[in-house]
Amino acid sequence: MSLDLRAVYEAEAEAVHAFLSRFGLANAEVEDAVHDTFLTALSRQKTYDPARPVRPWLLGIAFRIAVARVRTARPTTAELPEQSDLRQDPHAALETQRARELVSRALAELSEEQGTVFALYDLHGVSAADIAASMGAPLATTYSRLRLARQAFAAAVKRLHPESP
Amino acid sequence: MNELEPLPEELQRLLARTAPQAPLAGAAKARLWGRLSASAAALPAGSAAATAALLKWPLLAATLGLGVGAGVALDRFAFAPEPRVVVRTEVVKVEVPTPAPPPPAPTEAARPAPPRPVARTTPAPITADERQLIEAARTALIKRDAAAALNALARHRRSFAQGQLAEERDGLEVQALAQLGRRDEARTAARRFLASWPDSVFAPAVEAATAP
Repeated sequence: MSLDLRAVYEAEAEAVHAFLSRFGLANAEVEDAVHDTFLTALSRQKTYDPARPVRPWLLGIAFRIAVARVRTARPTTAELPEQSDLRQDPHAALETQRARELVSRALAELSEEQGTVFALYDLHGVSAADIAASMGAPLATTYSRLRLARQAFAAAVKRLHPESP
Repeated sequence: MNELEPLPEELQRLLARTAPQAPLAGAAKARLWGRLSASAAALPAGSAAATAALLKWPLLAATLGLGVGAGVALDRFAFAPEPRVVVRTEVVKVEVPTPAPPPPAPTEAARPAPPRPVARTTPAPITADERQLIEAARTALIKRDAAAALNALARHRRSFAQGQLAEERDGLEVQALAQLGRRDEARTAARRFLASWPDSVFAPAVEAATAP
């Protein structure tokens, strides 16, 4: 079973891009991450079961790529919003950038499994049923992972930014 | 217990603030597809899946994401997809089946036509010097210093006229000329580029740079 890269890209590129936009990466880096996500998906297609939904699987790959970039990122550039953001309210753009950096750094502290379920469910709104199907895990297990992931995420946010949330 | 309680409100607010501000535009989507399909074509056939199964994530990313770090900072107009070396090999195989290089185009008076790729079974290695000149040009373009970019490209042309990165050099030159506002020269260079490298992965960037 080979992955139809073109069809998957056509259908999922926007979702993958939107998901990766939330990690505080520069615009060009987001595009790099989208590229890497689909290329990695192609090379790992044997790990994909066509009977399962494709989006959670793709976003799981995207999550690993985003977190790897966050972990190796240079010190924050929060004071310099992206050029495209400058066309919007600069204050709002800065708020967005700071929130993204906090969220992505907190996510990077979670285990891969917890970070993935949290990012898919709470950040991107993938249903628990789809996440469960994608991971080949019972729904109850997915809920239990999510609860633990939320606790870990809240604790990480507190650690990284004691004053807010 | 299969129901989840709602996420605490302050965390909901935090997550909401990360919402995407701009969707992936159609042009960016198409451009990314061009880059992705070139990378996909460059994956070693058959070996990719097996390699992926053997390698852990970071290694895999390093193996597949060739040049990701180098290309990261490109702005949208100076876009240049990677990896370029293997893609070039494809061009060689498809476009030039015979070993004899065609004669240079006689009508190009301003500058000799870029050298045609010569068929070979394995691509020659790219030297660090050659790569460095192209990287310098690309960095200069990103910094909007097109004059410095042209300078690096001219040095590349002198030292590596038929270099492995000649295709990228010619593409960057069009973009540098366009950035300097030398539109006529940019258009001439673009025509020459598209004639020399009709299937180039850099063609969209070249066309975008010289669009009216």
